[in-house]
Formats: sequence, structure tokens, C-alpha cells
Amino acid sequence: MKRLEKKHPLAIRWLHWINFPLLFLMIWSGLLIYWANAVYGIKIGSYELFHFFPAWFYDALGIPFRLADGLQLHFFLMWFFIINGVLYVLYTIFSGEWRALLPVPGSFKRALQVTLYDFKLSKYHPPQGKYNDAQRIAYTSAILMGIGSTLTGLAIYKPTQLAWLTTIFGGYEWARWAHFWLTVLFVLFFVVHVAQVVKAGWNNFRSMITGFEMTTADKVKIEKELPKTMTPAEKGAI
Amino acid sequence: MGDEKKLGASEHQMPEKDAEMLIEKVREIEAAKREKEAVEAKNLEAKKLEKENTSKVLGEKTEYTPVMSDDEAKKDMSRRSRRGFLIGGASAVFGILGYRWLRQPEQNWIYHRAFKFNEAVSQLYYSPARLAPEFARERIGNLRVNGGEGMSEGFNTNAWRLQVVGLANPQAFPQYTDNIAYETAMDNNSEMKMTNELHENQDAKVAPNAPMPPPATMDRAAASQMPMPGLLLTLDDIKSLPWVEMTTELKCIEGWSTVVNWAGARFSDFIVRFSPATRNGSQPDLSRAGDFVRYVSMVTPDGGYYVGMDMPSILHPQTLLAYEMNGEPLTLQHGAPLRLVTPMKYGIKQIKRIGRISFTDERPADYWGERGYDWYSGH
Repeated sequence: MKRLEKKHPLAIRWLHWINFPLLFLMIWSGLLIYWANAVYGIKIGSYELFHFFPAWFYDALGIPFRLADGLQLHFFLMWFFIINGVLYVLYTIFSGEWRALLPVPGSFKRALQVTLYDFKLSKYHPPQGKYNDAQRIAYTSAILMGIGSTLTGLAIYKPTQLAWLTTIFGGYEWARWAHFWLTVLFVLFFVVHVAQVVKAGWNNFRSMITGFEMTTADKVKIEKELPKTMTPAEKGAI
Repeated sequence: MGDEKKLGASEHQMPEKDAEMLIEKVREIEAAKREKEAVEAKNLEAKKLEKENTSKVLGEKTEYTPVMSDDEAKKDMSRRSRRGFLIGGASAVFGILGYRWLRQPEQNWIYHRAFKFNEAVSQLYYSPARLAPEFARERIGNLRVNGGEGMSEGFNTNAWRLQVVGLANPQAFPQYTDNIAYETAMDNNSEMKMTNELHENQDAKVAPNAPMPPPATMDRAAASQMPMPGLLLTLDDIKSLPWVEMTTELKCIEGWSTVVNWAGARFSDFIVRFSPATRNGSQPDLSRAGDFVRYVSMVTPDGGYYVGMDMPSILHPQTLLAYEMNGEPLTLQHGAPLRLVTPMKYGIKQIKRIGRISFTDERPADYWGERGYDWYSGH
């Protein structure tokens, strides 16, 4: 016997999938802007472990060294990226989806447990709702990163008229630095996210398209019964 | 336990049957006790799990379809999948085609419009009271020389005059002339020659940019030879305006920035002295700056580089006509004798070696604006 779990509302699915190419193009156009002053790297003391970016990287991606192209795309698509993000946040607030997405007390501990479980370092899988605690932290972080990218972006876009904002980020150069590293975080998020989706399998991926995930009738029963505490009547019966 | 002992002690005085009944009763009581304990333990565990279960903390709701047979479920899922993947696939194709359309050179107007839209939004928030932060003199860095456009060799600083057109009452000034063209005889003084390194500098913006109309440089240079009434000012005319200095961060559109100390005259002070024409022909008055023509065009003497500026940015208190840099007279490389400096714009707008200032109500041409960059480029 089976049941379908209504997992992802229509709005969340659309906003998620629209965000995917938008974020991709924001990062791509960001690269077209970044190369013109490619100054960041991972340094240990004065030794640079990795420079963003080596020549092979630009070659491999076929980055055309066209700053104007990057600026045009970036400052056109930013509106859609921001609007999409705002709609997502508003929807999660008003639909109650935030309940499934925000971390709660103890989330960090259980996120660690579920990570250990995923790496097969532990047999214990902590209880969860629609998302496990690692997901809650990751998805909430993604929203915070989006807000951070928008604010640091504004800080370097209008550093005089928004000087108060630029100052919050430690000035123009630090705001650019933060904007860059937030982008690196987005790329890391993407890599882990895709790896997890692959690991979770088809049923899970399909639910992001259809909204529904196949579950056994049994699983539902167990989940519903587990947290149930005894009523006073039941206690009296003993 | 006390009961048990008592019962055990009186056992020998009772008939065997009664004793057996009592033992039975005790067993029952004990069994009930054990059961109760087990239930309580299970209850406790459930409570603990409930506390641990994240979904319950915030009251997350889950929705399920009614229970169905495996076949029904499979059929239902297939129906949903077909629908979802068809719509999703069509949207993806639509998105890819849309992006390819967007990236065609003919669609450049979209980005142009987007830049103008962003400009309008920026203007809504704009206030001349918002200043760029100033820095301590110790923070001054080494300003990179970027871009040699309009900086042709053999420039004669001594012969240089600042041409000004588009004033409200040009004839009122002694510097007025019917024709602002002037003799720029070559000076053999070797220090006037631009160093070659200027042109060898790595300049990100030199890379071919988005397809845009070919630059009208030659037309502009030819036009600059046409007789035109206006003022011919000397550097001393500018120096007679109040001297101001500021230590601000120059930001290049390429992404780098350098703290520089600039000194010169506020453009707004220049405008008080040399008032631009107004749109309605009224007497120019800085307190009614909205009446001024809306733009300022600035061109190098050779016409090779030109910027268009909006009047609000020109009137910003940190917009200077600079002739000193880091406490020294401006060098040729950095735009001697006179350059524009403003933290309201990227470096591409801060034109070096200004040859002519024109006040105009028409949006002026802009060198990098014609090459796919944001005309406004405002901070």
C-alpha cells in the first residue's frame, strides 16, 4: 500500500527552478566582471594556495574577457534575481513553509548527526520532518547568503549614495571581498546540493518537479504514531 | 513488597486453595506493574523523540493522499510526472531560447533600457547631502594610470585653454569669444610628451566590448574645429575659485580602488561663477538647479575621449575640477592641466585633460557608454 506525500508547493517549485538559471547567470556575469580585477586567493601567510582564477579556469569555461557584457547582464538580471528571492521569502512566510525550513534549538547537533550518518560514520539518523536539520541550516543559509549578496552588491554598486551600507561591510574593498566569497559559498552550496539530490535518488528529485513523493502507507503510520503521547484516558485504563 | 511478606508469613495458617489464589493475585499485580512501567518507558521515549523531532518544534504540517494500492499510486504518480516534466521541459526550452535571444547583438537595447531604468531608480534615492567617505592621508595609494584615450602625444599645456559653451550669459564675461577654437602650436618641450607606458598599461576595458555603434570620435574631432561662441578660460580662472581638497577613494569600473587626495575647485562653484543656460530661459540660480539644462559634456582637446554627466552628479559637493593630486600639481598622466574628479562616478567618467565643458539639455555622448557600459555609471 502506498501514499503520496505532498512535499513541495507549486510556488516553491517554480521559484526554486527560476532561481537556478538566474543564480547561475548572476555568477556567470559576475565572473565576466571579476576577471578585470582578479585579486582574491586562498593564502597561507604569504603563500598563495589557490588564486581565483588560474588561466586554465578561464580557458576551460571559455570566459570571454568582456567586462561590459558582464556588467550589462549583471545589472539587468539582478532585478529578477532579487524579485524571485523576495517572492520566495514572502511565500515561505505566508504559507507556513518556514516551519519546515528554519533551524530550531538542537538543529546544529542533529545536523552533525545526520552528516555523520550520510558519510556512514554513524548508524543513528535523527528524527526529522520534511527536511533534516542539515537541510534546514543549509536552506536558511542560502536565503541569508542571497540577502548578503544583494546587500554587498548594493554596497559596491552605489558606494557613495549608500555609503552607510558600504561602511557596514567595512568599506568598498571589503564589501567586494564579501560579495566574492558569498558567491564562492553559493557554488559550494550548489555542489553539495546536487550531490545530495543524486544520493537521495529519483523519487526525491521527482518531487521537486511534481510536488509529490511516493511513500509507503506504513511509513506514514509510523511517523504519525511515534510522537503521540498517551492521553489521560489511556493512562486510566492501566 | 510489604504485602507480599505479610502474605508469605501467614501462609501456613490458610487453606492451600486460598494461598494459591493469593499468589495468583500477587502475580497479576506484579504483571500489571511491569506493563505499566513498560508503557511509561515507551511513553518517555516517544516524548523524547517528539522533543527531538524538528518537525514538531515549529508545528510543520504534512499532507498525504489517501492510502492507495501500489498500482493506483504508480498510475497517479506517472500522471503527475508526465504533467510536471512536460511543463518543466517546455519552460526550460523557453528559458534557453529566451536567453539566446537576449544575447543577440540586436537586443542590446534591453540592457540599455535596463541601465536607464537603474539610473532612474538611483536618481529617486539620490541626495547631494550623501557624501563619499573621506580617508586619512596615510591611506593614499599609488593610483594606476589606466586608459590613454584622448591623451594624444605632443599636448601643449601652456597653450591649453578651457573651452566653455552652453552658458546662460556668455557675453557678460571678458573671456568670451565668437570662436572658441585656439592655436595649439606644438611645443618641443620634451616633458610634454606622454610616456609610452600609458598605452602599454593593461586595461580591461580595451578588450572588445559588446557590439555598439562605432565611435564617432572623428566626427567629434571635426566638430570641435567648427566656429563656436563661448569662453576660453585659463587655469588661473579655475584657480581663482575657492580651493578645496578631499581624500577619497577612486573606483575603477574594473573593480579596483585607490585612495587619492585631490584638490581643485568644486564644480558647483564653477557653475556659480559661470552659470549654465536654463531650460526655461529664466535667470540661472543654484537654488533652482532643476532649471539648469540637464547635462554636461566634457571632451579632451583632441576629441579622443568624452564623457556625459548628469547635472545632479555635477552639482554634488565632492565633484571637483581638480588640478592637484596628492599635494602636487596634477601630472600629465593623471590628467593635467585639469581633470574631473567625483566619487559619484566610476573612473571612466572622471575625464582627464578636459578640453571643453559644454552645458546641454541633450544627453551627451559618452566614450564608454558607446561601448556597452552604463552611461550613468553613478555611485
